[in-house]
Amino acid sequence: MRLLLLLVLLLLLTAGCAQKGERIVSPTLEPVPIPGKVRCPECGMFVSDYENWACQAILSSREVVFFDEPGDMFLYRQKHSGSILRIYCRDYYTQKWVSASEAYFVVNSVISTPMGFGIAVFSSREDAENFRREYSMGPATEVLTFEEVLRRGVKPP
Amino acid sequence: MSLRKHLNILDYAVHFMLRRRGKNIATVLVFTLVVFMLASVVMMMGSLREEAENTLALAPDITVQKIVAGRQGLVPLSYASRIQDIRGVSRVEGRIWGYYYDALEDATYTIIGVEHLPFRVVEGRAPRGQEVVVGEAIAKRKRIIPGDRIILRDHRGNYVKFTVVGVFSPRSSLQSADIIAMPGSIAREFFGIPDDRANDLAVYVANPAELTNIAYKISLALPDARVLTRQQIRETYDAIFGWRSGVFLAAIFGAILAFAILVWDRASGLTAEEKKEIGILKALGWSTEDVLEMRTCEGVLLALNSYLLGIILAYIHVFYLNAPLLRPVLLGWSTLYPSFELMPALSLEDLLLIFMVSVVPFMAAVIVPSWRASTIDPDEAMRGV
Repeated sequence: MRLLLLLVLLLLLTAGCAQKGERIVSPTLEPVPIPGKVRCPECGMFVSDYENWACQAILSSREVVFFDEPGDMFLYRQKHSGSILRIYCRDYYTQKWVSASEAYFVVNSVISTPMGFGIAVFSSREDAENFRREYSMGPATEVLTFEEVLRRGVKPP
Repeated sequence: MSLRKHLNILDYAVHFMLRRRGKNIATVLVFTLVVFMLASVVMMMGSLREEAENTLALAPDITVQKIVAGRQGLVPLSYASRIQDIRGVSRVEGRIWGYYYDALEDATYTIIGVEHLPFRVVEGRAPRGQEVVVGEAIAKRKRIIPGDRIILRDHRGNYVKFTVVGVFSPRSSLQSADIIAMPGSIAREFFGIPDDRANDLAVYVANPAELTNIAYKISLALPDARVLTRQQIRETYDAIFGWRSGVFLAAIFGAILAFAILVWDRASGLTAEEKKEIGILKALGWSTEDVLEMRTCEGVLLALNSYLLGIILAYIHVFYLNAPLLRPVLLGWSTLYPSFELMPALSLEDLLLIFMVSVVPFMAAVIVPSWRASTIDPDEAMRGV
């Protein structure tokens, strides 16, 4: 019994170490693939479980922070605006990484994102407009640029 | 000193059991049979589920078929370009495939047109020109190895010679066992499918969140199409497996009931003789714990042996003999396959599940009445009151 308890404790300990361990860096400021065991700094969920909503921010230390959805990325950006060099999000339709400064964001849509912010990201305004029509919940559903979203502010749903 | 005591108790327990050989052998037999049947079903379902999961992993996100008068027809490739225009679709492929009846072997094979191989190949490479890669079951049956020729009869009745350049890995047996893969254009010619048609369309979607919406858009745009998402296929598989294993569990319900009666019989009380023996032991100075330990040893010996025996027999039955007892019930659809081998897939959870429903209740049934008997007065027990 004691041995079992010890084993469980050891397992928990090593699991705890594993997720703290590696730091992912991007020296070229390009987007990097999502590692298996990394958690979102805002909500603590595993990012790899929600690949299709993922975002990443590259800090001035070249360290990469991953988010499981655009909403969490905005929350992080509002708190640490100074230290972020680049932000990439996944295009909703093509799933390719798109730079946040060039992307279009549909806010307040009915789509259910991992944390429920309802924000989807697109590389073209046309795609974003199309998505807004299909997943609209009225006039609140809008197509905005990155700067516009930041100006309005994002609050947890 | 204390170890010696425990060994003595164990020794006594073994002799206690040997003195009631008939009863204990009957218990072991029934116990083993129940574990064997439960484990067989669980192992077979586990193996089939894994195969199905492997099949699903290869299936496209959305399959589009054309329905003509309620039956499946050939899909015009113009549909592919219309689907390609839907936002979020990353790729659309027209697939060429069909069944081929081999009169010589009295078996049906599946011929697929491929540009790159969907399965792992044991040896060989992807087919080019008049070349094929065959499933492991076909290779075994027709005794062919890469480099050999096979002759197939095409839709015009001509005999066409193909060179075998590879054999699919047996690891993916259910999906690839009966497959003959050849280049798409050759398969099209072989079946006589017009250049602007395909058997069905495989649609790949980049974002799984958009999948349902795209499937809905396709069915709106193409009213004569049947749109199958991978999720729907998975649900169908689950329903089939769930239904079949349900039927079988109902069938072996009798055996489980017999087991329950046996357990209840043991639980409902000891025989007068056993009670007397416990009484004598107590009179000789055994404590309640000693009696309980002896009975626990007995229960553990019986249950563990039967459990292990049942599991081993089930493993041999399912994975070495390919489940001859369960096949007819659980594998109705596999008559197409020339041969079909179950791949060992055994999870710790399954073993634990069987353990929990067999060994644990049995142990409880052995210990509870012994505890009751060991707490009564030895004088009373010996007199048989």
